[in-house]
Amino acid sequence: MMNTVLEAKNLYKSYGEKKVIADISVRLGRGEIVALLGVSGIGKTTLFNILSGLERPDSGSVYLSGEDVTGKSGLVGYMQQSDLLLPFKSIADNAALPLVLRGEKRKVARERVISMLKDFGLEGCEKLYPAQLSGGMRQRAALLRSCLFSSEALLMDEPFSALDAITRSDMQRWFKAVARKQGLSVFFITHDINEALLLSDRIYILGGAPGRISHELNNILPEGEMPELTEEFLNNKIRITKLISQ
Amino acid sequence: MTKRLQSIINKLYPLSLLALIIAAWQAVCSAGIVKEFMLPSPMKVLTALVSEAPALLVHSRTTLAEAAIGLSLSIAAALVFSVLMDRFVYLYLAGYPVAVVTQTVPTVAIAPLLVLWFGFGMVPKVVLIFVTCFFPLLIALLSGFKAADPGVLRLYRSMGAGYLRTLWDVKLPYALDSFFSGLRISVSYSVVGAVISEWLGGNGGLGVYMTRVRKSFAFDKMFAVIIVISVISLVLIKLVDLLHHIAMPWKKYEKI
Repeated sequence: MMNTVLEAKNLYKSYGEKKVIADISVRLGRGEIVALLGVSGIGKTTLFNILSGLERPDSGSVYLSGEDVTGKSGLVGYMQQSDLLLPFKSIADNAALPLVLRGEKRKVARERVISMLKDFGLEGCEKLYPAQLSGGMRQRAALLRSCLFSSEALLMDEPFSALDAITRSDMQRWFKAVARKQGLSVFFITHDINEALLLSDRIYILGGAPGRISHELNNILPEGEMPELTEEFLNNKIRITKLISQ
Repeated sequence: MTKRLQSIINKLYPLSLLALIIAAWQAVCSAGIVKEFMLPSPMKVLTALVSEAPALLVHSRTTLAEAAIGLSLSIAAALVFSVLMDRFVYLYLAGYPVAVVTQTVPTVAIAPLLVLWFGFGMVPKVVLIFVTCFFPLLIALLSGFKAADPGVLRLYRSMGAGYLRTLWDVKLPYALDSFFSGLRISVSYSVVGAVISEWLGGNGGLGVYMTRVRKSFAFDKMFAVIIVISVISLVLIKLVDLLHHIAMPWKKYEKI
């Protein structure tokens, strides 16, 4: 059994009369990349807000490395759809933000960021403003910031959905390599079956109203240069499409 | 290059219109259509401007000092109150309507009262400028705080940042744009406010000078002082624009 980083047990949440999610239990192993797949408006973001501690569940608990952290924010990295870089801070200062908020000296934090820029394909960009970078580069800077925030677990809410198709597939490839290299434990939301199959080790499918985990699949990506063009990949895709539309 | 040329050409349009108006004015005066003591010719105004320059300079200094003090106090107060009103919602609900009401009071009407209460010195002028400048700045800052990206605010919350940190890192920088548009208005209000309050008496200032020359029917000097006030306001507005530009170096990279 893999070492569990983040775990949620029997989460329920409603807004007024409307039940958003019901009886959701998920877990994220150390070094694992897990996808949460589901159509829009099914409570994916609500679940992530609860996991990150921004919202409290009506009942149920969230555990980080075995410790109950329900409703406590500031512990898990949370990366949103848009990059949310501050337009008035340089890339280095943007990425160093979590370190500075933790009380590290600005200069020390900045140096640590600069030493990591190369891995994130942002070498030499430390003094630039976000507006001077392309969408993909901004997203990578946001990811660096998230990584610096928490080495424990990283939540990502449709992290690549704001990018164009070509940049997105580059980013996906790059992201998987970086996540493996840095040993990140990542839980990400997507409504793109390809993305789920390409990136993850395991897939949760969220379905129904209120949202609940309808299926859990282990995902093994076929070997090769273009795994998304293999028959096995397509069969998996068809299978998941059927599961989602049930 | 062509863009630069275009912007120069664009500036030529209003300048030529202005030149045309002044030429017509001069023509009307030279032809004797309007009596000289009623409307002095542009040439006479220019002469007055030159001959009165030393006096105008001294009075400008007084007016500018009043405007500067009044405006600085307004900025400081607007910063403090906007932060408090942003932090405590009840303060916002209670304070905002009151701030709006202070704006509906005509400054010309309360100026005599201020003289009555505070005498002929600097104080009534500064108070009047404060009353006129505080509100636009407060509104600008409050709406600027509201312009902060909610996603970024949530991000700061998810990273466990407190209010002061968020204010300094996120809300204030996001409010800069709006603050500078407020300041642009306030800076011209401050000069006009100073002049109006000086009308009612004082030891110096462009308003005092204005009252003196009006009473002696020296309309050429009257026009000269109007020009000085306009130029001061314009220069101050340009100065604010320059500060705006300097304060936000990232703006030039942002695509519209």
